[in-house]
This record gives sequence, structure tokens and C-alpha cells, in this order.
Amino acid sequence: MSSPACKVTDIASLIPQRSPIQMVDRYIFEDELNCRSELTINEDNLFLDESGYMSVEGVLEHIAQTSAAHIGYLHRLAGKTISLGYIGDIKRCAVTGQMPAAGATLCTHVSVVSQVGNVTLVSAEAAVNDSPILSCRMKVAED
Amino acid sequence: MKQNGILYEFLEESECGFLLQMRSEHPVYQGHFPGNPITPGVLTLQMVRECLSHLIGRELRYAAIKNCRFVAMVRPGDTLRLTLQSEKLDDIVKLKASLCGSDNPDDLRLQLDADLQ
Repeated sequence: MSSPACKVTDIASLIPQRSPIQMVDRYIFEDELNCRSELTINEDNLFLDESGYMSVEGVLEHIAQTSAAHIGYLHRLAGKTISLGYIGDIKRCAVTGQMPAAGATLCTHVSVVSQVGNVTLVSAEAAVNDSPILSCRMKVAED
Repeated sequence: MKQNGILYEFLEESECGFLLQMRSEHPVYQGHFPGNPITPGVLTLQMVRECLSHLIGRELRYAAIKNCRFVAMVRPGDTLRLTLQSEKLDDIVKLKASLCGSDNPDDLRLQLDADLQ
């Protein structure tokens, strides 16, 4: 049974990261194991290179914060407080498209593969204009 | 590489690595995390890429990350030893890197196996 998607734009209520490294604008809950997020890239984004393109590291941070937002959303549903989250590892990361420039909207889909204790393993795919640009697996650990 | 020189500074440089000190002035610490400055893992990845680019003599970007383990936190003020083993294959640079505390090789912070181009 599917539940209606729920969109959150008050990202600070889901993750502890703040400007200048808040890398999610909108979080969309799909179900307990799936979510999406969006980031419209501003010209002053921390991860833009001198040519104006986002680095791979910036996209990975966006994925990490999307995963943290999902964990934070589930915590909020359960009446718990949000916690600090850290990347534990990154595997199978493949860059498959051109990195986005300022003005573009980065969209990411994250699926939870497993959750053991405070470590969540996710599979993620980031896209721009529906074209995949990067996929990876990432472990996110909560404090 | 607009972060270079603000996030960290080079203390020593050799063909296989660097001694680096994390600086505290970088604006990222205002948000990661407020009142509890911790270097974001992705910025340590960026630091590794910038150091390899410096050694190779051209700006590189990650094409694939086979395995990257963030073993322990990096904080502003930390002095770190970055060891780089790289091999050029056509336009790809294959990299194995490790980052550890400067005084203790067992104080591992990051291990990386990646391809850059």
C-alpha cells in the first residue's frame, strides 16, 4: 500500500547542517525505504569550481544530506529528536553525466538498503533534468 | 580551487604525500556543525583531490570511487599526513590514498580507492 508523498521545505527541522553547507532545499518522503530530494544550485554554493560547475564532492554531500533528512523525517514521525549524521563509507560511486552548473536543480532518489543499529546503508542516484549524473552506495552513521 | 589555502595548508610536500594542517577559518564550520566544528567528509575528499591535482599538474575530478572509508573525524587544527599512490592509465589516474594523524600512522582518518580524470 502506498502512502501519499509528503514534501518538507523546512530542512533545518530534519538535519543539523546549516548554511553554507545546507545542500537540500526540498525533501520528499515516499515511504519508509524511499525518498527524493531537490537542490537548486545557487551561485554562491560552496562546491562550485572555478568554471561554475558543481564538484562530485558536492553531489555526494547532497546525497548524504538527503539520507540524513530521511532518517530525520522518520525520527520526527517517531517523536524523536534529530541527531548528527556522518558518512561512514562510499562505495560503487560512478559518475555517469556532466556535473550541474549554478541555476540547475539537482534531484536525488535514495533507497534504504539496510539499517543496522545507528548505521543506514543507502543506494542513491542523482540526476539533473531526469538525466542520471552519479550513483553510489553510502553508509550514514548517526551519533 | 577556491578552498585551497583556507581549509588547510601545506606544511611539507613530497612525491608521495603531504603533511597538512586543517585551518579553522573556513566558512563551512559555521554550518558543520554550529558550535561543533567538524570537517565534512566530502571536503577531506576534495582535499585529497586537490593535493593529487597539485602533484600531477592538472586539475582532476573524481570519475569513480570504488571504496572510501571515513574511519575517524577530522577537525580544524588537526595535523594530518596524506599518503598518495597513483598510477596514470591513459586519461585516468588510479589513486589509493590514506589520511592519518601526523604523529601516529595507526590514527587513520580516511582510506580511498578511486579513479580520477
